This record gives sequence, structure tokens and C-alpha cells, in this order.
Amino acid sequence: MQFNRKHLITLEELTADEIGLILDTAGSFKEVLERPIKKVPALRGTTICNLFYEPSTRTRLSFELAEKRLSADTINFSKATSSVTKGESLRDTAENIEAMKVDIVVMRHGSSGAHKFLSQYLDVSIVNAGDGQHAHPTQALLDMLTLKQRWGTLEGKRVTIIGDIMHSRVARSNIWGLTKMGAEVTVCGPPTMMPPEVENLGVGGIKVEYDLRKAVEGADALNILRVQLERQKNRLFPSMQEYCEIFGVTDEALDAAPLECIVMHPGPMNRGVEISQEVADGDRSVILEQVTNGVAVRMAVLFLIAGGKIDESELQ
Amino acid sequence: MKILRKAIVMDSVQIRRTIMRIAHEIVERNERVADLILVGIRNRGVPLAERIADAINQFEGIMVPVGALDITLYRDDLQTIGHNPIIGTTEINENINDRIVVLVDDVLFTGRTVRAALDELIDFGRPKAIQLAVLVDRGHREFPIRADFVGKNVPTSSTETVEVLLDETDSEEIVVLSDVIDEEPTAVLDEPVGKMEGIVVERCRKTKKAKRKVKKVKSKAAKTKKKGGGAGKTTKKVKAKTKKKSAKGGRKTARKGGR
Repeated sequence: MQFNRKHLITLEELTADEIGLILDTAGSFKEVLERPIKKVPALRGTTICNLFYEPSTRTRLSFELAEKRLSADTINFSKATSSVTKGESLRDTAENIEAMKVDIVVMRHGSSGAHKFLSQYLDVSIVNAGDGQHAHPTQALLDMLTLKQRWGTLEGKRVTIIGDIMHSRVARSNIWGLTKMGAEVTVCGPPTMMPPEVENLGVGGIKVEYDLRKAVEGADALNILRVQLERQKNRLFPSMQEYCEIFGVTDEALDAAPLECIVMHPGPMNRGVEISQEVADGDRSVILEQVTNGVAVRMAVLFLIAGGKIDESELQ
Repeated sequence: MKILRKAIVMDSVQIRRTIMRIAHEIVERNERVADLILVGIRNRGVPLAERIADAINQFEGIMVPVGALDITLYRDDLQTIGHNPIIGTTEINENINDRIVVLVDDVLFTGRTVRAALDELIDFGRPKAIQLAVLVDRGHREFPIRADFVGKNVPTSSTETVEVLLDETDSEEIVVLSDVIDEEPTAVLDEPVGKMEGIVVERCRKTKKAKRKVKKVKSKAAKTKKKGGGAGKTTKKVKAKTKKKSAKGGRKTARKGGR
């Protein structure tokens, strides 16, 4: 199995084998993170730019950590302190970064499709760290790694994603990744937060459930999405309290779930809104394990992308 | 391309005896067996290290700890090999500080694997000493590295390979010497390079037909470029000369046209 991709933009375009390879590679990198010296020289000489147009804590820190653990040289960019405030366009910014001989650009951008757009103009490898409402592949990969390490396989497992499916790139990437790996996905949330034709997402479609108790029943894992308060201008639900009462995951709501059902959250959490204090810190929660796996998954992605460049003359 | 088995270097009985001898030599050299740690280099160094540990246990009654080292991330050709090697895990559960680490591998060749292993091992601590045990030393070192314990020295040519097959990783227990055979040997390959150059250049001066032949030879030579640097050089020279020729010819015809 070889990984010949130059970019990682969405999980939709990857095969199940490629996703499996990333997860297996990440498993090996997890061992590196347990060593006394948590650093290997694999990407020595590779330069990686972290281009973040949107705020981020976990994704940005874990990408940077992953890069440093692989001995790559890193440079950071954030929108607020750059010439973007003077009106420089995305393409110009990226082309200037490329001109400085960067090998990989890790980018988060508020517009869906920004990565696809840049990949048409640039020669560098592009890794998606979140684009608008479209995709967040490394988050889905780390969620899948967490599940795979629990269960050994994703085949036939039932995962319920709860919350604002419409605006969530995490949900979309998870749906694509999980269904490709043979898991069954159910989504649950207010009807106003469901995208049109939601049941046709993923490979072979997914189930939609509007009743939290029913959605939780028989689930092997719950992935609880953050209520994106910054997107609440449209008033998709009447009040925070009402959302919490109907879709908030509390200990009572978890009563309907099987005993071994685990709880995930991509962070940042709104404690007391989509997830209660007790559930977030409870025995079923694997939220911090997800964060640990995030570094390993991002190391695997960067390693495979950097090594995946094949000289075309070699192919013949 | 075909890999042909040429000779059996060791059979299963010889492998067993050699491992036993190496185990004795390791204990002879390092009297404090309790200080030892055996670390196998993946993939086939690991079962070898385990067998040596078992052997030491048989006559010393001490089970020496065994670790496994995956050197993929420390390779010096990661950026150039162009594909993704599968990364295994490194498992060294003991503290290696002030211990004597014996690295174990199946074949010692260029020494690059051992270099990577040394670098990786040093990231785990500061051993009192690192020693190297190999089942086969086939020569052709590119680094100043030598083994402390050698099962067998096997003189080889650089195109040959030595394969160690073990019950744990393969279904066989044997060490074989193989060679890569080109299935379609080209005629160009058989001709000595110097002679070929002479013919080509001479014909070049004579006729257009010969020029066409040169092209053919060129393409053949390009195919064999990978094999020997000599063939590549020939094509370059020929190219330069034919270029000059055609340029002169071009001028002549131009003059003719003018008249």
C-alpha cells in the first residue's frame, strides 16, 4: 500500500485503504510520543507553514507539535498580525509563502473550498486544517483512530453524531471517513440544523434521528458537536436553554445508551450546553485521548504527504 | 528482472549452531550478563535477538531483556526513496542507561541501517557500550562500522543479495545468496563501451543512414544508462558530435539555396 497523494483536502477523495494506512501509521507514531526523547529526524529539511485564517487552539498546537516531533522547520501565520489586514488576497499570500520555498502548507480558512482553490495554483502540498463548513479531515481521522484503538476495527460499529450538522465540517468529514471504513452513522439535531439531503451523505447514506433518546439507543459511540455560538445570529433554535433540554447530552440522556458506549467531543466544549459537566469529565469520556491522538494522526498525515511525492520519471 | 537463488549460505542446522556460538561469544566478552540488553533491528533482527536471549538463558540461567528497534524514521534516504515505507514500532521497555546494548541484525551490508539504529538508540539514553551482532556480513561497507559478533562472512558482488529467512517471519529457515538477472540482455551491453564509441562516431561522419543508426544506438544506450555510467557518457559525446555535424550540414544547404 502506497500513499501517493500530494494534498489532504477531504476524506471524500481517499480510499478506505488510504485511510487505513494513515490510521496504522498514526498508531506507530503514538509510540514515538511515549519515548523519553519524543522526536525523530524523519522530516529533517522539510519546511512547513501553518496558515491559520481562523482561530484555533487544539488543531494549531497539535499540528505544530507534530511538525516539531518530526524535526521539520515550522513557520506560523495568523490573520490578525499579517498583511491580510491590509487587504492581501489569499492567493497572493499563499504564492508569497511558496516563493519562500516552503514544502507543505497547513491551512485553516473560513471559506469552504479555499484549499481546493489554492491547490490549483500552487506547487506546495496543502493539508486541510478546516475549511468553512466543508471538511476537517485530520479531526475525523483522530476521532477514527480513537475509536479504532478502542474497538480494533470500525466495521459495523454505530456512531451517532449529535448537534449542528449543517455548519459542521467535523460532522461531514466524520460521516465520509466512518462510512468508508464500514461504520454506521446516525446524525441527530434540530431540523433547522440539518443540511438538505443529509441522509445521502457518505458512502451508502446515513440515518437521521430527531429524538436524542432514540439516536443514543444502541450507539457504540457518541460524537457531540459544539454549538457554534458565533453562527447563532440566524436563530436556528429559540434559546440556549431549550437546546440544552432537548439535545444536551447529560447522564440521564446516556441512560438509553449501552454501557460500553463512549463519548467524544472535538472541542472546544460549551459545558452545560451540548454536553453536561458530568458527561464531559465522566468515565465514558475519551475527549482528552482524542487530543493525544491528534498529534499522532497529524504526524502520520505530514509524514505520508511529505514522502508521497513520487518523481514522475520513476513511475515509468 | 528476475531474482535467482545461487547458493545456500546456511541451512537451518547451521543457523541454530551459529546463533548458539554468537550467544557464547557475547557472554564471553561481557561477563556481567545482567548488564546486557539485546535489541533486534526490525524485521528479522528481532527473532534473532530473541533466539540469542533464549540461548543465553540455556547456559547462564539469566533471561536477558530483548527490545525491538524500527529505524524507518531515522533512514537517511526517506526523502529520496519516493514511497512510504511501513513504519513499525520501537519497543525498548528497559532503561538502557549504563547497560551494554547488543544490536542484532540479520545482514550487515552498507552499514547505513546500523548508523540509523545507533542514532535512534542514543535517543533512548546513554548506554555503557553498544555492540553489534549479525548473522551474515556481506561486505561493501559505506560507513566506518564493523560487527563485534559475526555469524558468517560471505564475500559478495554488489548486485547480489543475501536473504535471511526465518521461521518466525517467513515460512522457511535458510540463508541464501541470490542474484538479479536481466531477462533480456541487450546486444549493446555485451559490446565494450570504448569500441562502441569508435564505431558510432565513425559512421556518423559517413552517411545519413548511419545517423539513423546512431539514434537507435542512443535509445538503446539510454535504456542501459542505469546499469553503467559508461554507456551514459557515450551517448552524451555522440550527441554533441552529431549536433555539430548537423549544424554544418545546415549551413551548407543554406548556401546552396542562396545560389
